[in-house]
Amino acid sequence: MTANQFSRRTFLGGTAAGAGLLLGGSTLITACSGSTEPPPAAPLTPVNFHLSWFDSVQFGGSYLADANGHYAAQGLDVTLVPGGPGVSPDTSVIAGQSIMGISAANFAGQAKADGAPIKIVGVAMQRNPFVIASLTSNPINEPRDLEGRRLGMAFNNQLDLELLSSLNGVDVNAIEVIQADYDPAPLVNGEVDSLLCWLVDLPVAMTVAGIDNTTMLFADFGYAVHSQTYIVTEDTLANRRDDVLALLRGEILGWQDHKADPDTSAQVTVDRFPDAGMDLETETVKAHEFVKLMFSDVTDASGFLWWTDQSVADNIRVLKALGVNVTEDFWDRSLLEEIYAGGPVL
Amino acid sequence: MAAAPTRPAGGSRLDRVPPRVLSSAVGIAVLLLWELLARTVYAGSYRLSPPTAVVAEFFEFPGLYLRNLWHSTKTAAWGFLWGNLAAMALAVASTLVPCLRRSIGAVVLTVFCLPFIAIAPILRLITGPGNATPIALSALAVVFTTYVAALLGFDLAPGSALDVVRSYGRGRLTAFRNVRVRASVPALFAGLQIAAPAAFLGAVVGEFTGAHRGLGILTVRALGALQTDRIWVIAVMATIVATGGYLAIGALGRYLCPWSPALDVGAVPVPRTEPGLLNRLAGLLAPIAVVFVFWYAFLWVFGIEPFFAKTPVDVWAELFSVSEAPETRSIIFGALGTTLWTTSLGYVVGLVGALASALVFILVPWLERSLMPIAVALRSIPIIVTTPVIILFVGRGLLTTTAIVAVMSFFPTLVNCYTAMTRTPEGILDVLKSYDATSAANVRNAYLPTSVPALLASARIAVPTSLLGATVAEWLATGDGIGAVMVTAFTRNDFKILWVSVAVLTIVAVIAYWLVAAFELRTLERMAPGISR
Repeated sequence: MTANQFSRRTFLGGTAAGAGLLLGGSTLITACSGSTEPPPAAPLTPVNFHLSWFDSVQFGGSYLADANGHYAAQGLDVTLVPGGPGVSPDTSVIAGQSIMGISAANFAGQAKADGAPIKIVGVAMQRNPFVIASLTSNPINEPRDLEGRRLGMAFNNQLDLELLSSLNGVDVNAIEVIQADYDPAPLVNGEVDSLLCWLVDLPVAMTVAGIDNTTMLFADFGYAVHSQTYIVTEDTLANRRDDVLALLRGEILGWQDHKADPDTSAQVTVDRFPDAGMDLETETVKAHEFVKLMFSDVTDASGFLWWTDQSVADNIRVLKALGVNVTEDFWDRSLLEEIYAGGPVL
Repeated sequence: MAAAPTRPAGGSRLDRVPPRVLSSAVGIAVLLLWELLARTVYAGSYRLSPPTAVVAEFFEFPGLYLRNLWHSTKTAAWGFLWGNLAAMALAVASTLVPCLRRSIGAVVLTVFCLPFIAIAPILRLITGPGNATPIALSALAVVFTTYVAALLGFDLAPGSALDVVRSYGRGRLTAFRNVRVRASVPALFAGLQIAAPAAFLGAVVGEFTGAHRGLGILTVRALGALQTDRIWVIAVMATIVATGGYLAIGALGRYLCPWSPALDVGAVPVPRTEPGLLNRLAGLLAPIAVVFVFWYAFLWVFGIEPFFAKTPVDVWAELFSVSEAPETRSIIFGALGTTLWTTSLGYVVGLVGALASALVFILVPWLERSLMPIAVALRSIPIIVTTPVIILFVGRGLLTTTAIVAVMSFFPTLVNCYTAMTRTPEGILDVLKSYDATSAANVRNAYLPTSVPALLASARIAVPTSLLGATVAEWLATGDGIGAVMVTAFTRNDFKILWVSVAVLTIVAVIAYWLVAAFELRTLERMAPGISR
């Protein structure tokens, strides 16, 4: 089953003769995407866009941009490159393999501080999605509740935990940390009292499994770190600015579609990746949760991916506490300002 | 699977039961126990799925499972092909041009000692998106063991046959074509058997660097979604496929070379070093120089950006001369200490446990007949599949690394030691029998000594595989040690720490390998001069 290795555009664009051979997934995508427009006259510019994790409704807007022809309308043939625990999108962007990648301000900031010539040009999650998840029967409602409790988390979140603790006057040494990653079972089985994870990840799995859980969002306790940030290199900004603008426009249109109809976004995601074994119900819950993380008063006023100067100041302060030193010029809002010249909706 | 030409006489009535019946009985008992535990002690714990639920889950989504299995297997098969071709080409070169042997051997060993989890992202950087990285990783995972096996096979060519070729005035090439290639078949196929699960591990780790499908990705997804049944389906499928591959390669080897008993690559003596201090020094320094040349050449050929690419000079500076060097050293060596401690504990437990089990098997043949097929099957399960299952039971503490390392070194050593014990010369056993020797005396005087070469060789090969298993476990399970340092460095885009960790860990692995190899050589020279070559 190699159907999904072809980009959506290739499939629509000219492989009709071969389409009969490509069973399963691609057929389903076609069925869902509604109208398929004729291939445009001008050849599309191929670009790689490196996502930050495995295929997931976390990138639902991007899949919609592809399925609904927004990328193509911008003249782009976009390959959405999946991420994973063993790959960093920053690396792919810095090496020039992807024109744009999705990272977080702390990871990209480290590369920037070490001399990598990259900039943030869009912020999809202004509220960081880190949470402390706990069972509702034994809830963690504020950072102080962590003291004397057992916390399961991935080892590379240690700095984040220390920061959350110092921001809230919590003694980090009073928290018993146990390595646990990608897996809610330790919490469900009572081996830990809490998990450090993403709001839209393990808590959703527990909810779908019928396990009552409580989440405490880091962003509500001073942890201001931009997440799902769109990064490009300075070289790309200087020499391929139009391609970046086109890709951002396609993204924005796709995410506007996602916001308007998260259920369809979940359906398109599940159908696009039949080999991932995703559960439609779970992905639908996630699709709605992502809307809450990605859209706010700020985006309503100024547009998707927008950020405020205040949030940059907060990020710089928090990143400094994480040992990452960056300045305002790490963020470049000029492309969004150009895109949203006519208003916050495209 | 190793043939057992001689079996010690046993007294138990169970010894008369046909092995197939015994294995099936044990298998059914294990399944029943599994079902029972899952339905009672572990019910509702998201840990152990009963076999019936595993089967039901598979038949609910057969297409999903088969497509992912097919994808990972295909990747592993390509890696298996390319890695083994490269290994054989290198072994041929090492045999035909003996002066190259040490340098080639050093490079191949070094590559094998490189931690997967650190080279995977760097490979991804070179190959870009697509399936090339998983295939390349899978190929890298098999090169060393196949190289060692093929080289051994070529070396095992009977001297008399080589003399015949020489007496006809023919050269090395003819000897190689007519004698060595044929002679290599048993050893080579034993090596290929080990390579099959290794290729699978490489393919699955490769998926973690970004892929749309595959068993590794499905595992991570299932863990996050509380889909315990799914994890068990994956584990069972991988076990069946890996065991099938192992048995099929063994059968092919026996078909191609029916006259020779299957041979285990672990049970292979190391080549003797040339005498003389100068030779030894050259033998040590030349490979190191070659490795450094390769390091620079790699960076240069692929034109890797300076932001990622660190040379030996950079690594040295990072460790010893820059202002943060003391801090770097304390991070790296502190983590290394943890890794070495947990790894060596698991390594020793695995080896001692394997030797003890081999002895039990040789003394209680009905146990061997019922459990050995299971051991062989378990031996071929890729560690990446066992890891989540081990986590389910042992949790995610330091013990997990130890357990995973122990499992990784246990099975190959068990099979090798047991096979060696079955080859104990009948004469020795007859003598002992005539003295009415006890089992303990048999063990002391016959079985233990005959298994020493196999034990030592297994111990040597297990050095890099243990460290590989340890770093994978640290990444996926425990979050301790040098594996965690590498992953943290990588996710935080700290390439200086990443390269320093890779360099330090690789050097430690190579040195540990050499130490075990030196110990092996000395022991063999002392106790069995006839065996060492």
